[in-house]
Amino acid sequence: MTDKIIELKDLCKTFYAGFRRKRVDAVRGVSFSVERGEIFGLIGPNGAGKTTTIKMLTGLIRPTSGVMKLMGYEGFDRRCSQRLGYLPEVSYYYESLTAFEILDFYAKLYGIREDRQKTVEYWLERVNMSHARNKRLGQFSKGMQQRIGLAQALIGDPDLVILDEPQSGLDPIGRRDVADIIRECQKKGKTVFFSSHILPDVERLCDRVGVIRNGQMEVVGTLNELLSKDKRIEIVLRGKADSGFVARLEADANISLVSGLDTLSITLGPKAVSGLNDLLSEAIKQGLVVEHVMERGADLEALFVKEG
Amino acid sequence: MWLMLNAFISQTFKEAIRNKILYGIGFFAVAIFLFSLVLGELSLYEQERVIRDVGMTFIMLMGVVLAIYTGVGLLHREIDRRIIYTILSKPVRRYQMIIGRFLGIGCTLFVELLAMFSVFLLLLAVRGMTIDATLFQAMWLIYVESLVVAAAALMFSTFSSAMLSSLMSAGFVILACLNPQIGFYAGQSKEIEIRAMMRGAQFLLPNFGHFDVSTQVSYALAIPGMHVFWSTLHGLAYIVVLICIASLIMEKRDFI
Repeated sequence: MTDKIIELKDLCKTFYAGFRRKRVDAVRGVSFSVERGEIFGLIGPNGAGKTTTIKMLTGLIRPTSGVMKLMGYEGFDRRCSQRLGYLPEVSYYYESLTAFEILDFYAKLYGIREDRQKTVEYWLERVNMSHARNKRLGQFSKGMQQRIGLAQALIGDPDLVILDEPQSGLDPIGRRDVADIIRECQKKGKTVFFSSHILPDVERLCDRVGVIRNGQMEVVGTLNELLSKDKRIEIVLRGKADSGFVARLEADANISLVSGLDTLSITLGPKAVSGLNDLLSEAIKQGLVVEHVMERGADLEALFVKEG
Repeated sequence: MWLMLNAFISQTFKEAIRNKILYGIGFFAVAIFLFSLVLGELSLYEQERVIRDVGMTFIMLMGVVLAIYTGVGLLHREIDRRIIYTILSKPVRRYQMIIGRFLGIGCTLFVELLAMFSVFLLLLAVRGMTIDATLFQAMWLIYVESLVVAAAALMFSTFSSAMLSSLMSAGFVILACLNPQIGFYAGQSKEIEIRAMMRGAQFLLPNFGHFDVSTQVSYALAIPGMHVFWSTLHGLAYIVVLICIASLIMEKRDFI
């Protein structure tokens, strides 16, 4: 059995929309893989192809071309679905059923016979919905429906959990609960693949992140890898600097410089970071006082915006 | 497989039974039965015939309406509200879902028609009118006919909108009722192409004339058991074909 639970290579999906059959390339040659046991976050603006990619992974739509391997099986094999849990982006459930009945329904679809009632009760408790056990879903708020959605995705004890915007519509407590459940899944050895617009949550939870835009994967990597690419160092020096030293700094395109009356504020760009020691040695040699040195890593939001 | 079908059947049944619109239809049914009593009073010496005729015709019409409403609404709601995403990502084959849904609709229709029929029988009993085997045979044929309509409605809803599916289902019912007439006019036509086309339509469509035993019901005439058997088989054959077509369409469909 492979350690890659998801493997996509040049995956494409083309739709022909409307009466005139206008061609829409929703996903254009997406390639990436997800390792077993990791939390992978897929981010991208609206219409980037996140949901289409997820729908291909869950067998709701078929790829136009490319290779998709899920849990070692090529294409969407029905054997995968037994080990897959999926929460769609915005979904509603049968309004006339109670919370217990709806989870019992999904448990039956997973073929859970023994201890089905216990399993359902456990998940109701786990998503803090035990109090609404016998309440019909038609009376639920969006957040409550989202919790039931999360429970239905996890009730079959899947190896791979695919969550499309799991935190949408939730209050801060709900978001924290979802984050806890995602971490708990990872502890149990499950793989979590999720898309989100809430970038701080992605940063907090994900081992690796992929940024998708216009149907193409722009970058994939660990957060460290992605954010270190944009690492900057801010330095503040006090004292009267030699004009040659200042001129040399100004001439470097990777360094930005702001001169004050008695201070020099220097920002080393990603390509100039390696020259930090030399720069500081020279400044000290000239009698300048190093007041402040700070690393400024880019956050995911900066990366998200910059890649656009 | 049984557990999955059980899930679909019980969910469909609960969903349908808890639908408030059905209670409205129930009240409407009682009102129509009472109206048939009034009509019976107005017709001298034909009271029983009129009540039986109006009552059973109404049950038949309600069966068709409920079959279209449930058959179209169920799948359309699941697709429209994206419930289907959570179902098809589970270890469920698309044909299993269609079969499960159809069986669920079948159970729902059975209970709904049985409830209406029971009210009708109660009215007949209160008025001291004959309750014979013909009524039960006619009721069974109405049920089979409703199942064929439900299968057609389910099939149409796999590829079209709720409105279009309802219209196509209604068209299907009208053409199926006109099947004997289509056959008659095919025999009369002198144009070979038109004749072939009408014969083709007659062959493709079920013949709802087999389920129409209103004359026997009105005059309390016995219906031969073989007629009920062959009509049931005729209905079942069309149900199997329609469910297979619905499953094939679902299998090919992308849920964008």
